[in-house]
Amino acid sequence: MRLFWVLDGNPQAVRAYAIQTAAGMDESDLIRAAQKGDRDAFERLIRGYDQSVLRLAYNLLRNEEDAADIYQEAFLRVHKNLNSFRFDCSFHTWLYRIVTNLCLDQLRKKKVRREEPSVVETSDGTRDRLDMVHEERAASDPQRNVLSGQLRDRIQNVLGSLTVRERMVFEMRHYHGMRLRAIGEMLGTTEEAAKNCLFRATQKMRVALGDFV
Amino acid sequence: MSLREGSNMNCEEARTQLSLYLLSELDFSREELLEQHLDGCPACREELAREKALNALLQTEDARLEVPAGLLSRCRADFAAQLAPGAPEAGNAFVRWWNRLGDIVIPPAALFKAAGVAALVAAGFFAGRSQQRFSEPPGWTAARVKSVEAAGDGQIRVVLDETRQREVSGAPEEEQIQRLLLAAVKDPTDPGLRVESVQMLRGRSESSEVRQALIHALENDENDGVRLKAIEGLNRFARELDTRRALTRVLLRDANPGIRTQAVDLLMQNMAPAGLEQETVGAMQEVLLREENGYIRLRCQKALAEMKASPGTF
Ligand SMILES: [Zn+2]
Repeated sequence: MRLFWVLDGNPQAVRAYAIQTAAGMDESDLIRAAQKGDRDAFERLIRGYDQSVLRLAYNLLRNEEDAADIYQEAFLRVHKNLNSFRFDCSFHTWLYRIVTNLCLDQLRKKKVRREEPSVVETSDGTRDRLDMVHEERAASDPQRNVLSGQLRDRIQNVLGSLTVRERMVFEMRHYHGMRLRAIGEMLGTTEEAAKNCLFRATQKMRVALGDFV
Repeated sequence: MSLREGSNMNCEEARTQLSLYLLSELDFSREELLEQHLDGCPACREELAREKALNALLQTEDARLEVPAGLLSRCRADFAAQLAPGAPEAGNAFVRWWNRLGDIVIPPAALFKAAGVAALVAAGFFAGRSQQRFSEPPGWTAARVKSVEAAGDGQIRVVLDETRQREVSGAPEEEQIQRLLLAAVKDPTDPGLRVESVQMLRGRSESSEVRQALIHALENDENDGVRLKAIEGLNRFARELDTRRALTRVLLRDANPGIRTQAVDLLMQNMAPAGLEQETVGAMQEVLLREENGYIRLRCQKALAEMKASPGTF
């Protein structure tokens, strides 16, 4: 499937058409085509997911380079191992199993390194990365008030204080819409264990955000 | 399980279940017990409202770190470079064939006449930097063999369908860009493209054409991500009749409880006087009959109660 741009004889009257080159391919068709080496199918397959994979990695690791590394490594593994994908779970689950395991490894390494401060060097000296993100946003939207900045900082602080598993479950349930059962399955644990992680994370969040609600 | 053990839930226990309840993660019997408790306990209902507010807070854009601009396209370009011919592990037969075809570059002008189909729009994946890095020279022509035949003199004639990739960039408010995005939103086979296109269009929903496209996507797209982005784009217009009608239908029909939840919240936050809300009222009454999600039922109940209590004050 490609998006074609058709000029009806008149370059001014541009009309965009979606023209189907292959009869409605669904995801399993894409996977099968990609397994046979169709690169276009592979691109389309991963493009359905890569944005949310990157968002997950960035929010979990809170570091641009780490998130970019996860992206590369995850999709390289997908590319390399796609032939061994046997449709015994959904592609989504399979992919996220790869991604979350990579993120967990990375988070563990960071914990060992005692959570390096997320500072960057700028012309004004050393700055906290999150502050900069916030200032950029505030500059792009002057109406955004101090309160929203405090809220974000508070949430980020709590997230930083969670165990890697709590953080992972919280992220997947609240921001990626995955059910606890699927999260448990993905992390190789039970639904009950995932539920407990989520509960503890929510408790900490509630304590920290008590005066906002 | 005896009645004494199983049929009551105390406040302490109820409090531990509220967050899971809002996420529809309780099993049938726990949810039932909790709802029975909530019915008779104003204090826990208040706590539920707080829990709901907390959830809403977590869903605001401030709760999340936004991926820095450009990071996605950088990742895509780097990844494409890794897979590109020359890089280790790439270079299957298809890719080699494809690259040889790259030598047969037909001038664009000839293409316009010959094919009628002029330009293949690079609608996102290997956009930007990857244009150079993804091995194809500028003016690169994609070809598919359409037919082959013997030409009679020992030669073989191969007919190729050619398309030329082309990148178009412009500000989001430009009409040409909007038209391409509107077409991409309807791309039936590429959910990733649709999600991104809806996301780019959702800030433009003051245009009625864009709004119609968002409504169409919200009601018809099979992909949950696309529908979620569409509903976000429509939230500023939740007082408009066409949007309200769509939200009402979504509330009744959407398979995803998260999307139904957003629909009911938007409907409630933007209620008109009851006299003007007959469709919404009817839909909410229907929801009470068949919705299995506790939160959505609760919201509808509340909305209906409020409208009866003071029908003219919204
Ligand atoms: Zn109670």
